[in-house]
Amino acid sequence: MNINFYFTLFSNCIPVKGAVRSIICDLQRGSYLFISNDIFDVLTSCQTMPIFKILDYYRNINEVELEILFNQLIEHNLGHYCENPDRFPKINTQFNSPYEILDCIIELSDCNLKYIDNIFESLTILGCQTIEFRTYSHFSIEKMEIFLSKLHLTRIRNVELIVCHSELESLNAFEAILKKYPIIETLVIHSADIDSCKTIGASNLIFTTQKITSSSCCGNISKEDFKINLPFYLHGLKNNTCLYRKISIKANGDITNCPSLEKTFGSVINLSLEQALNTIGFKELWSIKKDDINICKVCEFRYICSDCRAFLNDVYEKPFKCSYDPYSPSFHNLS
Amino acid sequence: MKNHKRILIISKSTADISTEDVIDWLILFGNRPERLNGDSIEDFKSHSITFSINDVGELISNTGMTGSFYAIWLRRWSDYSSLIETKRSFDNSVSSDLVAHIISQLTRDLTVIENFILSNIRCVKFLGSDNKKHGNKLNNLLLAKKHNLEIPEFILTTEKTSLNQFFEKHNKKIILKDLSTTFNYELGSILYTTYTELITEEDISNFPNKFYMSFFQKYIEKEYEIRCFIIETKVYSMAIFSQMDDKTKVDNRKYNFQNPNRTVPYSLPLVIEEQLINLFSDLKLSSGSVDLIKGLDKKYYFLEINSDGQFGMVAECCNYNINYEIAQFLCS
Ligand code: SF4
Repeated sequence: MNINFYFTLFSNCIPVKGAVRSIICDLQRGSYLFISNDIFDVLTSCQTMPIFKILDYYRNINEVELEILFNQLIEHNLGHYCENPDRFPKINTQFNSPYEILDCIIELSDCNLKYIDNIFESLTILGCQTIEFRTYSHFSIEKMEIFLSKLHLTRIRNVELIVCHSELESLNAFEAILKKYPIIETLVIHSADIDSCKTIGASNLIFTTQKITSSSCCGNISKEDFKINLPFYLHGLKNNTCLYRKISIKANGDITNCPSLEKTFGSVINLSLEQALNTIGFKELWSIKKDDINICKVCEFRYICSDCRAFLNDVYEKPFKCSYDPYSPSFHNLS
Repeated sequence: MKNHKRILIISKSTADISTEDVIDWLILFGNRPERLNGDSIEDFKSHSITFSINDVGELISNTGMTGSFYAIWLRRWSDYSSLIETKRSFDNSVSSDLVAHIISQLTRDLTVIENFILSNIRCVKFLGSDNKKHGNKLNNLLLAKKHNLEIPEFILTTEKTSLNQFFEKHNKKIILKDLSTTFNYELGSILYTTYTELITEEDISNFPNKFYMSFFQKYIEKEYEIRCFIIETKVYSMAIFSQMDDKTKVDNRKYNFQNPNRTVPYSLPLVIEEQLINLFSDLKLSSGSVDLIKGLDKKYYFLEINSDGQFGMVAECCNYNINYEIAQFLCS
């Protein structure tokens, strides 16, 4: 080891310190590695100090131990030795996007079907890229197709369809839908008899026994749902990762931040989405980031964990449906 | 906010994500750019487009593409990939030799049309370039050297004896490279493609004494690779750590899907950036991608220019605002 060199983590491998332990988030490969908080401190200093200075500064760690640590990190492809760290700048955290709305959730209903042209026109103006259609109970495929057939008039690029399993619709009909509308990335059929999944073209068809019978089924926080990628991390630094630039339309036409939130900002029956978006309070929750939320702010998972601002007593409280305690540190079973 | 400047975007198809992203910025700036997709000319079955000349000798089309534009962005012209479909559409009674002739004739004809269109639409500001014009690897290498960029030594030869000398001179570490585009060949359902490979002593012994003129280059032991996207005088660089992975050591196009090469933002020394900018201005290129290698000898080697190269990956991996820069350039 050349102690005149630096050892730096790759700029898309971000160390995050928690209450009692830390992780390195590999935003490129979508994984994370636990490290102790002491190692977090050493690695943070490593970004600006050559190795000999680190040895000088951290008297409790010797050269052999340090080299073992670095070699482990190199093995995990998380960092490298370099002569001049200035050549490897940090990733710019300013995330710019030309879209006023990124995601829209629409509960499929006769009411929304009636106003679909207005809704899609607004979403086009707002630049919406991703849409999620949901049904909590049976909704006919013919009606669903009316929504899908108008998508090409919008700027939407990704579609997720979450529908309820029903004896009334055949599997073939769903497969035909996926073939006809390749824009649908994922079709989830909930309340199914078995869990299974297959691909049709480039789309996923997922059957789940889970029952999504109302909007209160959302908001679970679990390790399985961690999102470890650069755009998510950049959003999370400055904004709420669940609600930022999101708009939802409930089955009765109410415009809300998300289907699980009670507060409505008008109805598609008499208001455009742009108008609702500019109503006082619509963007209030957008800026609540993990760093502002009690407990989450000391949690090492805070930049890879999705958030939920619906099920809680106070908007600065950690999600009710999270069972993780960063102090213990462990996941408890929700009782 | 309204921006009524006429902007034309020439792209391969509506499926090109980078084109869509730039258009989304333009829409935000209040501009509605016009589009000409290469595939609308090639894929006659699903598009209808007719060109003609008006009274004052201007190129016009039935899709309204007429007069002159404020700005034109040539993102990339079609790569004629739809001709593969045409090729498949012949039945077995047509000899494969005749099919090959027809396809190469069609390709030449399409190139004439492409050149005609590109040289007859007018604009104040032009961004991008035609790879077919600026894609001569050998010219670009020479010109790079003129601008004091380091290049890996190379030879063009038909002789095994010269090859052997070159091989010995570079400690038996040389590579054989494609000169034009990558060679793709479909046999059954398997796609064969050429990659840059290290040449071994055994390879050379199997070569005949004389062969078609081929391009051999010294193999540079690299610390990492660098891909840059240049727009006017801005250089956006990304380091690619392909050296850690044997699969991608010589040619990073041999992508390792399980363990992608590490890609991070990079900041080139200013001298190198200046040399690249000068090279681009010499070539009259307003934008394009460049591949470089940082050698273990600490030198930066220029490899090649891709004037219609993808910049999406550089922008995404490094969070560079390239789409925004392009949109700004076009409408300001
Ligand atoms: S404490 Fe907060 S950040 Fe940590 S896992 Fe729970 S919800 Fe996510």
